[in-house]
Amino acid sequence: MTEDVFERIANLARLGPYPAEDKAKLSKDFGRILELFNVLAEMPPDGEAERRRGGEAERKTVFRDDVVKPFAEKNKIIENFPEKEGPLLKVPKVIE
Amino acid sequence: MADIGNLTAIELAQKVVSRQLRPTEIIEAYFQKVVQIEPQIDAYLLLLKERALSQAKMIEEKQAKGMPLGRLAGVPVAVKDNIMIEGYPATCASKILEDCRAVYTATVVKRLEEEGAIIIGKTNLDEFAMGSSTENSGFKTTKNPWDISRVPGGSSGGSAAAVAAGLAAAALGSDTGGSIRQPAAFCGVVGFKPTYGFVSRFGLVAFASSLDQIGPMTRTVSDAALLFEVISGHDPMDSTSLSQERMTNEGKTLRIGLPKEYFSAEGADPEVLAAVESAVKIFQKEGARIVDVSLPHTRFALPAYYIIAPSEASANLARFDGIRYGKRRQRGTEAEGQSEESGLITLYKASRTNGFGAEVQRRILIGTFALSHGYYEAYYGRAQEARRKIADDFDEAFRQADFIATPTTPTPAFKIGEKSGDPVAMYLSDIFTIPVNLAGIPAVSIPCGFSKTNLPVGLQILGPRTGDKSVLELAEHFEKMTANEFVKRPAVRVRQGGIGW
Repeated sequence: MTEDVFERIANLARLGPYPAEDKAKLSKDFGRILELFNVLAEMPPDGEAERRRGGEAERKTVFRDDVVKPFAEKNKIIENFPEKEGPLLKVPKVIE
Repeated sequence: MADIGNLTAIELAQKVVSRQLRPTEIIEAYFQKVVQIEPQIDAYLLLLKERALSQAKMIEEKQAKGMPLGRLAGVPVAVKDNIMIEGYPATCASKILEDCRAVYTATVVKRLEEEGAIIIGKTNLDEFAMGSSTENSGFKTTKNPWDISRVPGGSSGGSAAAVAAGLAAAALGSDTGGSIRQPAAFCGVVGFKPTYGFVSRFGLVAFASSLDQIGPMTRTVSDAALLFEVISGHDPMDSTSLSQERMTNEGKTLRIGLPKEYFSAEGADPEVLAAVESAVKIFQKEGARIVDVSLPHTRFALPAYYIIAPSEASANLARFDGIRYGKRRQRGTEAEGQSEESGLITLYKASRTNGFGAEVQRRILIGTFALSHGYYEAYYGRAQEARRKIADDFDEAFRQADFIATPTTPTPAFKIGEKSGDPVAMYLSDIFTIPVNLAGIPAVSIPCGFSKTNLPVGLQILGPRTGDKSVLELAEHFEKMTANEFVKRPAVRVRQGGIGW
């Protein structure tokens, strides 16, 4: 894996930047894992489009009834907030 | 008192119902053992003594009022720390979730508690259930009670070690690629992965949603069957949950298939194969017909799994960014100095890079790569194709056999540190369990022997999709035929107060 590709993937994954040492180790592991994946190229293609099955026993979309239910856990979620100021919850700026 | 630790979950509940034991007495006895043994094993991330005792008292009050008690009345159960209990941490053994408290309770925990089970603690795991040794925990490494220089397996290593060492009567684990069965085999306990969809995932922190399944870890198969019965069933809160139409084996001649690909696998320990083969002979002696079956796409299972699971994980773990979930970091590593990125992207990256351990980052990177433009078809697309072929292999094999028997793991428990530097070597320890998750079928690991060095060996019994009950019945039959010969307890040295066993 080239450094460029690694940097691009890490950026997409919102990880890094890594110190040189970690980057070298991760790239090396990555290379070994990709070798493992390359076995898949030996699998004869069967022309059939990817069929959605495998783990899913009966694949159909299941909808719950669209009913309004009171949500009791609001305060518990607020308790998980790391920063508060008075009654307000503090979040970093998330718009540019 | 000494006797309490040796009773199975079923026996404990019976003794509570018949008033021979009080739930508080059971909980006290278990916590006494935890004080003595837990420091050597490190199975738990959180102990819930106060909560457990108050629940025990509630059961006693119910009993005093003559109210009916559940099927698990007073049974101390440990729960893997990626399963939520309202008000308590569900860390997934990750530093990134250290400060979060669950805001609701998982369906499986609710169902256990409705039947009178008492949750006594949250057990250690590989971070976000990614690993095969519990060494990837962000907090501590659990030790195998049979030999504390060895790993308990993973990712449900804490649950397996807790049950093996008598620190819980039963436990819940989660299994994405073998995370219940592999540690069960390493620790000499029973571990069952149900058919995908049979147990609700509501309240389980997602790793790879198309593969994850919660299941019981116990000392006996009967206990596993009871816990499975309690936790399974349709849940409207999980859209992948199935209503159960269980298939059972209708008393035909029992055919057990041995897949040649598993028995000729490179790196399989001869001692493990010998123990499994002698277990198969026991079935044969009882009249089962042994047939050779072939699962020709087995060698594609490992690469398919290590593409599909990380791909799903890279999406599932995107929410841990320091804003929506997880510990927030403003600045990351030193290498950040020359970054030209916006403050927000830097915050995301710093929170994730500091909050996740090495293996989790590795898998997120793999998944992101496999799903990225230019690689998607060659990796993710091919992996899905392999997954289908593997499922088809099983469909075909189950036309020739009612069950399939294999070793659960290629080797007994390995040494702590032995594989932690080499991710691929670690991945290979799940080679016999992964295909089951890809196909969504049920499988149980049960103890079937010991190595010369006194380490447990696991026999894996696989059944067709929805054949859960039959799989457990066959496993139970094995236990009876062998007169519980392999239902054993390791001798764990007690550190304080002299030497006890």
